[in-house]
Amino acid sequence: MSENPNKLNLDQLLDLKRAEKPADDFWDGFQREFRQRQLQTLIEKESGWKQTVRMLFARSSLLVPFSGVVVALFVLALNFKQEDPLQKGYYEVVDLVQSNSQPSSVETSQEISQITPDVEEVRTNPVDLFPAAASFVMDSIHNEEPEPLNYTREFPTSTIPAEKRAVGALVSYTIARDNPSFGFSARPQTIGF
Amino acid sequence: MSFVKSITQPFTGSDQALSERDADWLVVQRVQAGDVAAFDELVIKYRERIYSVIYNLTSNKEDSFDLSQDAFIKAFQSIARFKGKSSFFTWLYRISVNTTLSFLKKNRHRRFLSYENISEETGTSDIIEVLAAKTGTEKPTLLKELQHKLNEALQTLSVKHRTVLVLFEIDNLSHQEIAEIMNCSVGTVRSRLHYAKKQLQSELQDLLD
Repeated sequence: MSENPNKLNLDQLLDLKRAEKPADDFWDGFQREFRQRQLQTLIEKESGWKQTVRMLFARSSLLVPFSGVVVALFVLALNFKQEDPLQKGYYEVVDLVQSNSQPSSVETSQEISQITPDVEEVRTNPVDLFPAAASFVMDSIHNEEPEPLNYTREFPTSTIPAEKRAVGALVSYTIARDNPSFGFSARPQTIGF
Repeated sequence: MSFVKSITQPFTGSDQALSERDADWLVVQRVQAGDVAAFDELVIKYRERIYSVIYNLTSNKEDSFDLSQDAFIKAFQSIARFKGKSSFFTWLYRISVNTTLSFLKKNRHRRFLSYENISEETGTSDIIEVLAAKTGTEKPTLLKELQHKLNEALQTLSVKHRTVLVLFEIDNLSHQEIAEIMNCSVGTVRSRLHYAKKQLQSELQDLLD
């Protein structure tokens, strides 16, 4: 109790602060608002990349094409970065095309251009002969589908430098033929020569 | 060594505190196991105390509502990382205080006060009645005036001093608990508390003995 009846002490004043409370029905609204926000948090948690990954893995029909695209891009990236293992095969193909197109009796390029202008074009830039596309069918190994997926992938060649096109096509074809891995097998269909 | 442990674990001091901590920990484990609805039990248990501490720091009931909600949502979002090293209560208080301090820091230039009603069962009702009679003021008017002066005086304290004062004097937490929540030493808590009370007394000089 205060010594002076006209004055309060600090404890008594702070008692007023302790008595500042919301009414009882305030807490119903508080709880309702909290549940709404909690639900919103749970929904947000499910969205975004997690949901995408979950969707991909839940549906094998989406996973296989997705994996195929990833692997194909990976193979192409490797092809551009590393020494091409099929370099030899590439030159063999080039030689084959050139020998088939070039008349054996022609001695000089001057004469070639006079006789067959098309052949001259082949000799100066032989890779332009190749539209360079390897297409193949991918079947899922583990998707338990009775029918093959028949997913056909043709590599676009417009972004590939001209001198790499034939090699890219060969690599794609060979990888598809020899590597039934990454959850799918690929049956080569065509190679664009 | 055991002495050091005992002073760093304030909530194991009594059986009641220990059992409360254990009870909370069991609920937390249920939430962590995926029982989202179990978190409601913790909200219902602590909502009044959390709201109270935030309200006493902000002196604004609308902000207090939002900040209490934020604090509980933050706790819910982080509960998977709660390992039970401190009590859930201390952890929740720390989240609430930090959330409030960040808000106050961010909005320090645009603050206004909005008060809760003073409940009838205040221990000062007798003296308020005497004061009201002597000054010829109606009791509700006097209460409003006192409430306003008190809240304004609290807002003149720095955030750190106000927090210590509110946690100790109004929410009745121990020095050790406050030190844990504010991540400082017990000595710092004592010194801040001493300074805060002195400053508050000076601010309310007209009303006090």
